[in-house]
Amino acid sequence: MVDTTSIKKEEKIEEQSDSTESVVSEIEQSFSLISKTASSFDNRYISKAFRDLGPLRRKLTKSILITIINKLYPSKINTNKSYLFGVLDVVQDDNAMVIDHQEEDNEDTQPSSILIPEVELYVHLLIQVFLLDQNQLESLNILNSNIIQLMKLYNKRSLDFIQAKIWFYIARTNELLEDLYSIRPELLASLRTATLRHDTETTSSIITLLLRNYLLTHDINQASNLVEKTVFPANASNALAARYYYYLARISAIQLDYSTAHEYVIAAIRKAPQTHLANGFIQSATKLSIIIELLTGDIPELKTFKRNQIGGNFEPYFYVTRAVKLGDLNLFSKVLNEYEALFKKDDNFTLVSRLRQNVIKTGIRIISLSYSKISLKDICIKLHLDSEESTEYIVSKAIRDGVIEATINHQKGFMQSKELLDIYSTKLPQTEFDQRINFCLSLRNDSVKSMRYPSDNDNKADLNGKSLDKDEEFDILKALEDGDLDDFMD
Amino acid sequence: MPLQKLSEELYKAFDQGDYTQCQKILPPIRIELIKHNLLVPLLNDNTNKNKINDLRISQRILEIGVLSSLLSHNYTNFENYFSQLKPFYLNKKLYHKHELNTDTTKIISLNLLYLLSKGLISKFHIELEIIYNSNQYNIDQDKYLQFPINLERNLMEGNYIKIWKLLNQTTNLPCFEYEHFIDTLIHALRFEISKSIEKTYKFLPINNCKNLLYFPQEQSDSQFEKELLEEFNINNWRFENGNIYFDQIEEDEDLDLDSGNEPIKENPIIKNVLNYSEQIESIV
Repeated sequence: MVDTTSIKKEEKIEEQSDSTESVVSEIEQSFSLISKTASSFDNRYISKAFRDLGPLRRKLTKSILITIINKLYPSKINTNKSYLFGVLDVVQDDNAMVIDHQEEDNEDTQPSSILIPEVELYVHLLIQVFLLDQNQLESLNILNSNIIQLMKLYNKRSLDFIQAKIWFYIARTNELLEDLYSIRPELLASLRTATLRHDTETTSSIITLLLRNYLLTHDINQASNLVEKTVFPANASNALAARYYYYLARISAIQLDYSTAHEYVIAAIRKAPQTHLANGFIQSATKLSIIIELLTGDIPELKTFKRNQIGGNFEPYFYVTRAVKLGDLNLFSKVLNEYEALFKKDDNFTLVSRLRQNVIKTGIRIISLSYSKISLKDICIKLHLDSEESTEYIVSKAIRDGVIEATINHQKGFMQSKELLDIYSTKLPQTEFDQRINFCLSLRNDSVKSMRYPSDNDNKADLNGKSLDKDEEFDILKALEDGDLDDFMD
Repeated sequence: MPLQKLSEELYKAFDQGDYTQCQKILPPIRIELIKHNLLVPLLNDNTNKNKINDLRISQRILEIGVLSSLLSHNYTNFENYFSQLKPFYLNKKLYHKHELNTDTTKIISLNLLYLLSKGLISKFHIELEIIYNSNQYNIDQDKYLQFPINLERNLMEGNYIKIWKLLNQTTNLPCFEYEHFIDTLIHALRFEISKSIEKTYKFLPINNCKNLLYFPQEQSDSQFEKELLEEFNINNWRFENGNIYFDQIEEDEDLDLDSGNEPIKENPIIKNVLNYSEQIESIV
């Protein structure tokens, strides 16, 4: 998000005057899309508008925004207008001039344009994004408090998507200002409102924001309470669901519930959009999944580390995995010391340091696979443990945890591995097969359910004015597919 | 002002080691604190120094609450006071300097020990997450915090011999409050060991078992058996001819299912297949 600022500055100089008009018309196009949403109650149009927001964001300048604001609020005296200018204003004179100039045009041309709340909030969103890119966090913060008040005034379902995005930027601002506590009450209040109004997108967005907020302050208790008490909307967009699952994985991993955490993190990676915008997210999710997999006692596949297209620094994770795989305690402590700072930066240090016991366990497992009978003393030497007695306890703990199938003969001091069961004599293959069939069946059922059928209303509209031509439909579908990619921040 | 008088009384009682008296004084003090809006540290930017000082005093009062309820074995109160104390410790305005070997880390580590002795491992890790990620504490050098962390690590590894050593050398303990947890921790330790033992061995001479569980060798076999039966959940241990036999309950059940009762085994298959055919019919 920082580098967009520099790009924009360059652009600003180049195409100051030229592009202003074209960008303004682009924004107005979005306005018309948004008004369509408002009149037709079809949220697809708004997704289209948001898809254009990414490129649009890079072109925004102050003068453009001023033009837009003037078009929105033609009258001279308007509280919203004045604070919007207040937020944007750096040089007073400059603006005053522009305002005068603009108003002459507007009052003549569009005196009767009706301001709908959707468009109004969209403009606020544009200004938010602009201020964020310009790094004017203080004024953004002032704007945010105004927006929160503004959003409370409206009660329309069609605002759902815009509100979700606005809340995202509000929370992001507070995060950058390192002021995480003050936003919580507002978030919780609006979560309640959104849930009651069945605004799925806003609800899911706010839940993820709250979880992120709690996790940043390491308030795991609060976070898990929130998860327990809320229901994440089932039809939330994929990007939000991915984020939600990622946070869930983190919470359960810290609570030592590794198998659930593993399910969640896999779901998060699968649901994440497959474009470069979500790279950062996939990186941190992959890192988390590597550690969780190690904690559950599995070794991640080599290709997890070698996915070139996502980049990211996986080196420390690779070395940790190797230490666990070899069951080498000395190597493990060395890696842990060397990369401590990196693990801390990824917020994974506490999880990684829990792996110590797994290193020992894999060591024992490897030994148990290689020898059918081995004396405790040899195990002790091989694993660099302190004494034979402690080896006995450690091995017996491993047996209890189900890491190995073995018994210890105490008098003679050796460990004897049990012979491996033939897996096909058990029910395991059958249950596995059953699971897969059920997965296929539910996949089919889900796809049937998620198909869209045109309703009667749509047909009429099509016949009447061909309001929705084919290209437009295609664009919208594409926007839906890509989802809302712009705000993957971690 | 009664608050002042009460707190002086409390300090005095605490210094003299009269913990029951402390417990009596604390509730009225808390009511006074609520009246003065001091029980919860709500700070904004323009809080003045006096208020911060007052809050420090209420923190001290709560700390005494934690310690005295611990020392008088009142664990519910211990939990209550600790959770009231937490907002104080998390407040950045009250705490901006490093805490090393102070009362704060002592009380936090006591809470960690408490969670361990109750076997609440996941809560233990939640607390640990907060401690690790706050830059107020230097875990590696703090003698109070090191203790519970080492304990948990060894417990997870199964390195029980180290724990036994740690627990048994009272001189090693950083402060005398820890002694209160020793008994519960030893009990927890023995419980863990007994669970491991019954999975690991087919049989074990009673004397060796005493050794493994750190019971004194002089203890008579019958008394040992009695104590085990009372303290731990060991219904599948058989004491015979100087040996203990461990019956593997779960495996036996599995065998029963697999061998004798054919109809039980086939039912799920029929159910599954019927379910599939139903689904396929709906597709076709």
